Amino acid sequence: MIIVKNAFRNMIRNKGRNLLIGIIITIITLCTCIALAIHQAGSNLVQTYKETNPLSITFSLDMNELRSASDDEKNEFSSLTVEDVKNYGNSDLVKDYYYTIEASLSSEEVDAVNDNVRPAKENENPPEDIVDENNGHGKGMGNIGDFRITAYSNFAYLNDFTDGNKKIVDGTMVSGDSDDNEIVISESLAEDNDIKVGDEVSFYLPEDEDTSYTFTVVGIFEDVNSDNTSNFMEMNALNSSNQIYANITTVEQILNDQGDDNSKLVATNGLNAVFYLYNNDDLEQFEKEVQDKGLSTYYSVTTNEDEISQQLQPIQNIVSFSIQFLIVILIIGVVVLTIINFLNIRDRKYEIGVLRAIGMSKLMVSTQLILEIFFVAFISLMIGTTSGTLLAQPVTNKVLENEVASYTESVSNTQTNFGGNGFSRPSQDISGNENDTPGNRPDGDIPNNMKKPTQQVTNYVDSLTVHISVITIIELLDISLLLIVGSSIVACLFVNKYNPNAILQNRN
Amino acid sequence: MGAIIQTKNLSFSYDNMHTVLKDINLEFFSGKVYGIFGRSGAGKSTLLSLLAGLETINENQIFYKDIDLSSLNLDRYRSHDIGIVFQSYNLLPQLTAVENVCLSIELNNPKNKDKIKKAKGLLRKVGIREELFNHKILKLSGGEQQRVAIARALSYDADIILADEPTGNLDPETEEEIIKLFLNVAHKENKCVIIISHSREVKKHVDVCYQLINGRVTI
Repeated sequence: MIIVKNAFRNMIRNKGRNLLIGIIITIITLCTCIALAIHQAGSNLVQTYKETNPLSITFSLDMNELRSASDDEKNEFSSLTVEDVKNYGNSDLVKDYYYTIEASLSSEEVDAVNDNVRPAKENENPPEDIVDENNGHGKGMGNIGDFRITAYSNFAYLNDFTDGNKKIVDGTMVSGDSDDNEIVISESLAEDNDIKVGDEVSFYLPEDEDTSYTFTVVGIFEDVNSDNTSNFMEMNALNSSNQIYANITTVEQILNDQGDDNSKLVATNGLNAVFYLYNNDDLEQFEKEVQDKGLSTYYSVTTNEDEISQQLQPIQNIVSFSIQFLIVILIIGVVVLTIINFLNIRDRKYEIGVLRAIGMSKLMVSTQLILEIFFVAFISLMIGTTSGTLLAQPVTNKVLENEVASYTESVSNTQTNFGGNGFSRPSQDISGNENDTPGNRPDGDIPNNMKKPTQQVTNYVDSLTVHISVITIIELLDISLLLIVGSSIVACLFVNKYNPNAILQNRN
Repeated sequence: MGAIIQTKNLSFSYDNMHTVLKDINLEFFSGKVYGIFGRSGAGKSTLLSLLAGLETINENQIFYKDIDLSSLNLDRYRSHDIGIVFQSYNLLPQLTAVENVCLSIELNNPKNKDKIKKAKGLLRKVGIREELFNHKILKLSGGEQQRVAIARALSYDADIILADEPTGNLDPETEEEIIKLFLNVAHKENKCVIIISHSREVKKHVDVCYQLINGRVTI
């Protein structure tokens, strides 16, 4: 009790010195508080993000390897079928899965939307270098019509709609498999051709005009990002306004009608499957399982891990920075406090000598000195934590804003360096569309690095809600205690070294 | 009755080269006032430091109540068994006169509830005016500080009072009062008072007088 009372009395009476120590501890606490809060919030966000955005697993076909395979090997090759996907999806490891199938169509009565000046319609004679003699479409691209018709096994995974990039403005989305021959078209396509919900429209296979289909329009969707649509390489099918949605049965019928020598490859390009596991760590086990179930060795299992990592990159950088910042602050804190404590002890040598001479033990003197700093630290801790709570969010926002801006600028610079064509490494080009992996592109078979810059949208995580939790406060208390005790120990070693008589004689 | 404190062949040197004290054999008894005199540098203050347990000593050289001092807890010894009046007072400047005395009382007995009353009584006894009780030490004169230091040494009924030049800064009148106080403490309260001094006045009043010459004692 006596040392507590003395410590408190000394803290009050040595205002100047304790104020200095208090300010230093407050600054250290403030910085530590912010760093800890950012680290904790960032770590939580990364974990939550990974939990709510599980790895999407897709199968990518190595076309080059398949083409270079011998005829026998090609004959043995078994392309991915809907049945295969369903079989793999029944694994105990799989939490959920979906697949999309897609076909290409042309039409006499419906004009495709063409945002470019250059002619795209079959009768408008596009330049020779980009058309072939059969159908007036991209050279070497096969029989590609003006329209893409896509079906999802589960439309809940149609990200354009779930993300709000597209929305139904009239009618409804096609529903179950029973609603055959129903389609949803874009608002632009409907307006250009004066199509309304309930109208029937006809399409035919690009490679076989005799195989035609009549669909009923049940819904019209608005493309919120319609500014981003354009006819890349003059292919109307790649214009999102020419995207048609139908149910699985409808598209399956078209794919079946396309059956020819290339049916396997057509089917391969048209079928895309995405799997989600209960536990991302089971990826290798899942890969082995699907291979055991017969997935061709020409397929490789790919994930969007890079995409998720990229989206979290700014946050992870900040989390990493907060740790480094914390370490630097703590090192500086320990050094500064140790020096102050040491100087403090030296200044108070006489007092220590007197206390020792009248019978106060070394332990009591040391405890009293530590208690003095502890009282100062406690008050500083309160001030620092309160300030940290108030400042953590604005500081985080500013740091994150700079971090995202830095990344955006880096990607933008890369695109500029390529003359604006937007060539980039896969890890730099994140569309946010989980289907956007090779062999799995409902928006057309366009590799990411061939898209126009305007199509590249990187969904960086650009907000982080920071709050000071009980865990943060406990961590803060632990660190502060460690800091105070650590810095006091050196000082206390000197107390133990001092001979009271020597101190008093020197003073005399 | 045996000596309360005694030295046996006590020798001491600070640097193992120059011997300050040589073969000192002294016995101090309760109820008496001892005076140790000698020239400057004779080793008086060193002897006091050794008796106070402020210096490290070899075994079997100083005995307190027949117990080897080197085997005792010297912190407890200083806070319970001896009261020291330092030549330069050694009071805590950030504390008031009362607080300085109270600190020693608390170290001796943390549960003492009458410490302030006792401290004020002692300060009155050594001649400190009431209005100075709550003054910080540095606001007191040298003589007043010396008296506060004496009050502190008397504050916890120690068996032995060690006083290094306790009247050095006092006027003759106050010096006489302090000497009387020490005599009373020794004779009426049965304490052992050891005074180191140059003062002839002190020499006149002490019960036993030792002379230290070149580190050796003569009676």
